[in-house]
Amino acid sequence: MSFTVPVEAKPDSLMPGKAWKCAVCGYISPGESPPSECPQCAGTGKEFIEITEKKTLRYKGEMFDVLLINGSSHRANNTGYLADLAEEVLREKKVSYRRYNISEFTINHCWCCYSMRDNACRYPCRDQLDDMPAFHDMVIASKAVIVASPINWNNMSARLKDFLDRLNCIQNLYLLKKPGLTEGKVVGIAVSGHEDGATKTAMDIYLYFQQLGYVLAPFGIAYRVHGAQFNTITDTEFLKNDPLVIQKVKGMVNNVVEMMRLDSEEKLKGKLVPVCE
Amino acid sequence: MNSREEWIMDKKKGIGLCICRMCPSFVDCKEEIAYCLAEKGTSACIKEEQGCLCPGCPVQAEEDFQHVFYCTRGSETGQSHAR
Repeated sequence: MSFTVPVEAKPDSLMPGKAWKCAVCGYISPGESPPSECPQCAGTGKEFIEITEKKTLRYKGEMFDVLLINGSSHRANNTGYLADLAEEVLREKKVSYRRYNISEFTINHCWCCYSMRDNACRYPCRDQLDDMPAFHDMVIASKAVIVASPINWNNMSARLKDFLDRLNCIQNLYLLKKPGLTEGKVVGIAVSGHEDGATKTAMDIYLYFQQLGYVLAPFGIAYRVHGAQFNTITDTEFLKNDPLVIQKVKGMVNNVVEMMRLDSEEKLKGKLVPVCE
Repeated sequence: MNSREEWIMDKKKGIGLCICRMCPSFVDCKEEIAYCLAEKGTSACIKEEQGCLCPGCPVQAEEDFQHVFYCTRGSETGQSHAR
């Protein structure tokens, strides 16, 4: 498993020496190394981040092609594995990309300024207090987005929904008769889960991107679930040993890259009529 | 065609509309506000980003500016050129 972002966490422990924070629930564990399992939420040791000085995420405009978002609360579990597979393809195809596990970042709930007054919601977002403004800029800068999500209650993760809700300031530009900043870009979606809800989750995610003018890559949705008859502790082993997972996720990422290389964003510039809410 | 620098809002009008003084990041050292319109540089005294009101400011809305934290990161023109 690889991570492309520096480990950063809010220093909310005054304990001297090293300390580790669970990115899932916030549990603080002192010591030279993280515990093998979080005593508070049962996350694995891979969810722990060493506590260092908190820095707000910044994006300084470096060019790259694909933004890969692991939308799970667990950065290193089943959805993280799908993101690992996606990274393998992006590296093989020599695509410049950035991967972010959103559990490592601070993303506030959308303030829904739009619901107060439609022109109150516009890029740049009024909430400049968290890591989302940098993600806004990266969404606009990248040519394609690949989103990986677990299934939580037949839906995407709450963290991912916060992330996608916060894209409203970009989507709302259409309503304000401003030029769109994302139309013609490409999206691919990967979903992992225990039993059901995969296609609903994928389509819920896609609807956000559809409203932003994204094009879903051909065969651009990959999903795999285990089964209700199994204990969730066996899901990881199943997913990691199931050749269909590799075939589907890697195929989807391949399709995103090939679609992106057609440069639909550039070819469609100025030719699309925004049809969205 | 005029350059962007030529058609942006008059500085006096901008200062009149500017809401910098209400911002948590603002430090008053008697310098000219409306940093988004400043010809060069950033504030001499604002060093810490404690929040940004620019996305709700009428200057930014009227000019369709697309950056934030002008006081610490530079004017709209400066930040656009930095890309």
